[in-house]
Amino acid sequence: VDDSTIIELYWARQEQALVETDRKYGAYCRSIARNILKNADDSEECVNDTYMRAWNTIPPQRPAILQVFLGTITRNLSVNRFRANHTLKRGGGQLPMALEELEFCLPSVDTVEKKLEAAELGRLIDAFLRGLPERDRYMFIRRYWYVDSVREIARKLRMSEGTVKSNLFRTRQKLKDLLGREGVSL
Amino acid sequence: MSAEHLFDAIGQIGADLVDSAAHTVPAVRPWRRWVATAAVMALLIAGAAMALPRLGTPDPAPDPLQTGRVAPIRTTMVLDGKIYYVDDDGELPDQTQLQSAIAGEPLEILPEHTGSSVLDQAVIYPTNDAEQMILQLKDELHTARTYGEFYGMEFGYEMASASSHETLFQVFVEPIENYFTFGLRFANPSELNEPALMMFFWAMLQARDAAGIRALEIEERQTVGTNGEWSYSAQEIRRILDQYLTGHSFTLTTGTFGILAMEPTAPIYPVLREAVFDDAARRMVLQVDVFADEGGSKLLRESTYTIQFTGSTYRYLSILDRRPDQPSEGTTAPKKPAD
Repeated sequence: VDDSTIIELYWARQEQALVETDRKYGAYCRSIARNILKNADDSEECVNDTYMRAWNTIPPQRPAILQVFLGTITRNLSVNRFRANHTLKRGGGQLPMALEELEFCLPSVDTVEKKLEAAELGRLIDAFLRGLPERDRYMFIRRYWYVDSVREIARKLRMSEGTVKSNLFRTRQKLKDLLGREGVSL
Repeated sequence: MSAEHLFDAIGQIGADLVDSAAHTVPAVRPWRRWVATAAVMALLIAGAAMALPRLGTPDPAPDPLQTGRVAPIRTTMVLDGKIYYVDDDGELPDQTQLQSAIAGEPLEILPEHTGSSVLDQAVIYPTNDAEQMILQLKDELHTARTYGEFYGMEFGYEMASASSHETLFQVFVEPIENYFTFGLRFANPSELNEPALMMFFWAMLQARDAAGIRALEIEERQTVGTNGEWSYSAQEIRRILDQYLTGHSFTLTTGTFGILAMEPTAPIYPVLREAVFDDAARRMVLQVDVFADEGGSKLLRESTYTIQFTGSTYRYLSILDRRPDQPSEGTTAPKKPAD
């Protein structure tokens, strides 16, 4: 079933939409939730909540890319669940490690400060990522959007973990430089 | 909270980027594909030992920083038409079986100057600018941008201070542990013979790739041989060795180097125990304990890597080993501890 058909099912308020969503994107959403939560029960709840959120927002929304639309909801719900369950940077899962790595990107405090909302900062990062070589962009998004483990990324790219880590390090360094140049304060 | 804010902002990037990363895995470069192919071929091939001197290091201190897991690579290589095996199981290979395997998969070796292009004749000189190099084509000098950066001492500091010891280990130690467990241990690089130097060259190619450095004349070259083997000219080999290893004695003047097969062996478990920096000398010393088991109960050896930084490049000054049954000796390690 293609995405447009699934979206039409949502618009027609047919519960088959949820069945088809789970059939096509259930594994995808679960992998995102599990990367963040490392807990099967919590992950399943987040995926179910994702479907409910999709049910409540389509219509009026008509996602251009259904998979990413669902993945974004799952990611946000999973992070919120994680925050509720843990003090961030503690506990298991890939998220604390990803956050620790991202701390490296934070500009020093003596830069000219410019507060940016997440959306505005997101656009800055979006432009930054589009300027990266494909492989570096892939690694960054898999690590910090999908919260894949380094090992998983290395497996996908058939590289050593060290190669992935060093590439991520360089990309974080470039992002840090960019944020510093932009005088961004988070 | 700041990192969380950044994480949230990353969640706002374009859906097309997220979608692309879900569906498209960037292509593997040819010489990576070759490694996988060669690993399969290696199933047909056994190895033999190549021993080099092993010298002493100081007594270890407790409190390991980071444990790694390495499966050393057993390698079969060809150098000037001769076949060398690099591994430490001490058994000689079955020559008949090996020759038969190779005969079934003929290896084409490119003469150094056969079919040379402009890039084949290029000499690249790194500069202190991390992303700039000087490219010499015949008698003309050009500047060019590299894809990535070299690793400078600041990288070592950053990794040590950020407690990213695993990365420190994976950049500076893992390539050696992967490819040189079987013999490339040295206090004086002039002691190294050519097969060992070839393995060092090979590992540095891996390390350069990890650093995002594209060697034009290598990256642009087509694979050779039915299994996609690569070969490297003496000029290329010498340039890499000059850059990463001090004082080596390298006499290969004609012919090429190729890897015939690579095969992972039983894993070992190195622990990066300490990273020590010497600001004045621009040196970093990594103390590594290598265990046979993940629990760290069976110590195989203690290794000391001394790395010299020059600008944004680095060289290995020495790699010293001490077996548990060997007495302690002096060390070249600087005494200033890392922050």
